[in-house]
Amino acid sequence: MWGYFKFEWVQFFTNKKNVAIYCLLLFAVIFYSLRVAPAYDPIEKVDVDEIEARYLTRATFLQDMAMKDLTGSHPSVFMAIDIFNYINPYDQKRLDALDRGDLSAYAEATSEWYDITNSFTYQNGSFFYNPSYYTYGSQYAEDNAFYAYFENAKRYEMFAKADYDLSIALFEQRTALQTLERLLNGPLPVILIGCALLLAIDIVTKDRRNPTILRGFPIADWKKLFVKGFVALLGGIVLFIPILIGIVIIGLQSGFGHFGIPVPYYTANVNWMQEGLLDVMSLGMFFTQCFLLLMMWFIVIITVVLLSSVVFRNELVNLAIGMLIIFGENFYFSRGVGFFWSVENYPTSYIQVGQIVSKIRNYYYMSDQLTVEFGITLLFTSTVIVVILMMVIALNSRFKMVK
Amino acid sequence: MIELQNITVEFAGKKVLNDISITFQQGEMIGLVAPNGTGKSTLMNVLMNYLKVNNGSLMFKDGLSYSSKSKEVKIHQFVSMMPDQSDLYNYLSGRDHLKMFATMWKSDKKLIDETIEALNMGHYVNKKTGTYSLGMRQRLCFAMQIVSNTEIMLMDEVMNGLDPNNVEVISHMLMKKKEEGKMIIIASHLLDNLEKYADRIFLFKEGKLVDADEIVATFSESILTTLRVKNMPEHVKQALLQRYPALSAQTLINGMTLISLGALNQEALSSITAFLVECNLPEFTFGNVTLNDLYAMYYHEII
Repeated sequence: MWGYFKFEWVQFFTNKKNVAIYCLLLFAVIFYSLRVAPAYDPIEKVDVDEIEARYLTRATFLQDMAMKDLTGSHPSVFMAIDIFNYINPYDQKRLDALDRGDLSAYAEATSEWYDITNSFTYQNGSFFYNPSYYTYGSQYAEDNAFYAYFENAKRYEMFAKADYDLSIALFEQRTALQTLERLLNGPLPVILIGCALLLAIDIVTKDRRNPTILRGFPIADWKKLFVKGFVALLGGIVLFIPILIGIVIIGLQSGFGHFGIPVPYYTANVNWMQEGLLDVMSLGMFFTQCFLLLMMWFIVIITVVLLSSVVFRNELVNLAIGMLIIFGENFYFSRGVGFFWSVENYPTSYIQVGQIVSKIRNYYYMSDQLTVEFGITLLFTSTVIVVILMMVIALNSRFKMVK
Repeated sequence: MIELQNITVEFAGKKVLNDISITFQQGEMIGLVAPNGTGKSTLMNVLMNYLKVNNGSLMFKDGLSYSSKSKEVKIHQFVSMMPDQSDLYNYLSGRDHLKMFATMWKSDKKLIDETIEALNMGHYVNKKTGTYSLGMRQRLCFAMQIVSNTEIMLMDEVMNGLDPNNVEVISHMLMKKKEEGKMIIIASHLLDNLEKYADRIFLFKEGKLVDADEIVATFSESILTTLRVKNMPEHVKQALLQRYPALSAQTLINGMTLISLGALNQEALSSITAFLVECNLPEFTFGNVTLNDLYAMYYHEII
């Protein structure tokens, strides 16, 4: 068994296709780290000019209105005066804090600023969020901004209580670990699972090129399949090495951050008006949960490829089935659909690993049922079913793994 | 030990192996001879369970048979088949391949270096097999099976692409393995070599295994039974038969005329020798029917 493992291991890491996947991923990571990450332009950034411009405009308006007789003025003028009088002190605090270099005070004022701004902006025809949310005619711009403001309010609330050094890079999520967090909430899980699929795709079918060497090995077919699966899983874990290289590159430019950084997650709280919509976990916990869910996904994809390989014996079919699983969620995903369908029971609903851990996916689905624990249970159950099917085939005396 | 009972394999209605029943013992070297496509490889594939039989059963030591996957693994621990040289991993070295087989069969690692030395592979075994010639690859495949060190070794065309020196080296190694008590089953077209070393030789005819001794009763005996004359003109043959009516003659497709000597005395043999020399036919030998003759006689083909 150990001999067969070593044999498969060597083959896996000398496979030109696999080496190409690692090289392409490394190239993409280095490009991202050197060119894309430094150019990151968050919507919610620490922008003194923007705060000041907004503050001065409002202050000027308030001064102008103070000198006027407002009898008979439009009600919106009174509403603006009320809100500007209420919010401008917070902007004043933020500007003063930045002037003093007191980032803790800035975080406290900003947290409150986000809460207050959110309360009067959401679904208010007179006020709008940052215009960047409305790009590309986004149908859900308001909802996205509403969530982002809550998220920022929570994040800054935690920063205000922090006992570690604060920085603008930390606020804007530019540090290496926060960049990874952002990527895990974005395309990275699908990229990694896709890479795992491509790595595993020929792990069984390649044997047909060397049949007379392999088919006489005194090892049971089911053991061969398990060893192949294990090697493919280790190969999947190796995908994290390029990611770690990227973290080092970004870390050297923008700082590494640390595992205690707060990561807000959605709580689907019915009393959100009073208690808020989000809670926080540490970045370390976020990564741990993401890693577990990703590992579970690797295992699912690899076992499905193994089963498909013994049934269809064709890499293209393996690819098609794998792609169907990875992109299957797109066939039914739409905002709020979780309110009507039990999407939490579909394993494919858990593909956006970071969004499952931060639970923003629950916000999108309008469901509070998608949890990491349930996702792992569901994926594990799926794996067990696939493995049982594979074993039934592999233990059949007429089955030949290598023909 | 391998016991075949009524083994039948059919492809598209054609019986490639037809009701074969035979037993092979440990310490035997078995030769399989037949034209291409007549069932040699099929029989080997059946022995390895790479091919399911339509009928019949196969029994190994301790009553083991291919009745389940776990038993197949047990059988493959002591039965191996030489790999095909086209299946080698071109990016791995010869030594990597040998290590692979030694590890899979948990054999003594010392066997790797011993085999490399015995087969004169030292100068190339550490290079990638993609750079090997056909003969080098063939020797490596043979070495791979040797390091697996199984009790039963199946070899299909083991001598392919080998020069005469290497044929002899491999033959001696096979003899050594036979002396160690291993059963070696070889399918080969190098008939002289097979005849020299095999204990029993079987020819395939219409899916049946036919012992060479059944075709020519005295085949495996070292007795003088036949005069073999190369390129004997028909009129000379007729003249000889007229002079010695007790003789019978048969000209094979390979141009060899076999003259069965019966119970001729030494004087008669001297007379026949003189007759052939008179007829200007110096290429003749006294002895027994060779495997090449048998092959030409049986299949009407020349190798």
